[in-house]
Amino acid sequence: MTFAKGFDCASPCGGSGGAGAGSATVDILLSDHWLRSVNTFEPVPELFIADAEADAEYWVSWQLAWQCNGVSTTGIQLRFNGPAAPVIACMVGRIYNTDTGPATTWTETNMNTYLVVASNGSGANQDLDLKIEIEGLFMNGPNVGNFFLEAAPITNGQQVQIRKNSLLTYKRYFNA
Amino acid sequence: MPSWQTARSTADVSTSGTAFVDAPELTFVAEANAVYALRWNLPFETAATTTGIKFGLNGPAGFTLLLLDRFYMTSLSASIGQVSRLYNTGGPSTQVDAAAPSDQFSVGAALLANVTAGAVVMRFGSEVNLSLVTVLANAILQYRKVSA
Repeated sequence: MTFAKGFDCASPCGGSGGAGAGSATVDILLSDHWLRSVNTFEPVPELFIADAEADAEYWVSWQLAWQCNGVSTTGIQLRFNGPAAPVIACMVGRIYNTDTGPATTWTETNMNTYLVVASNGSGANQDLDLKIEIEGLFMNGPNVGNFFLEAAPITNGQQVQIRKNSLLTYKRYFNA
Repeated sequence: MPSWQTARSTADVSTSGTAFVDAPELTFVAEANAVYALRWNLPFETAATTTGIKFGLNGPAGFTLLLLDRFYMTSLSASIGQVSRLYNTGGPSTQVDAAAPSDQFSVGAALLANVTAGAVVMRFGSEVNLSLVTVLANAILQYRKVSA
């Protein structure tokens, strides 16, 4: 699934659309597989916006390869987290748990909170790469800090992985 | 940071077979040991509502990660998605909302961690043998080298 890319432009992209200059598009690739077996959320390493600027708005996209390991019914759950008091944290996404679906699709439209959890339950293809796609807007509030994607297995003790070369792309295109 | 590059088709391409065939204008040459993000927007037609289409990729051997997904509308209000981890794989869309000349549409995206340099090309095929499917002109494949 792809989404509208209305904020894409050749980098650097600045000047139009807001009072502040835009920024270059940033790509980050996960340098190694990330494993988690505990069902409490932990930030996925590397794939985050470091030091998101106060009052800045970001277009953000993750393309992730994920696996459940050892148990075919293991699901993955996701959450966004970041500096306190965001203005907008709106994401849409799709988690595949088999090659042909069903996929969990969600729209995260809560403002001022990171609390909504997207999850994918049983039926995952064991030990095979599956896909997660997320795209959205993050407008930070007054606090500088990291904007994370957090993940965990649904069932404690059952391992999930985010695979090497999973991709985060983001661009700051507007400053209030 | 490289920006998106676009390969755009100028002519319709068709097949009546279920085997994958190239959409020859939707291609680019991948460098060795580079990671690419890909996405595509593909208008198409099929001969009957019961004839679906399938899309896949072909490219140089030796990738360390290939993960693509496609999103097909099977009616005006229903869709299916599919994941592939290999070249020349992926099932068909099973049906479409309306037969030719009604335009249908499919989108998709992929991550490719390449090892060997070579051409990457979009491929397509029919769900039903001897039932025509056509990828229409102005189809777009976009690609961007994320890292060397």
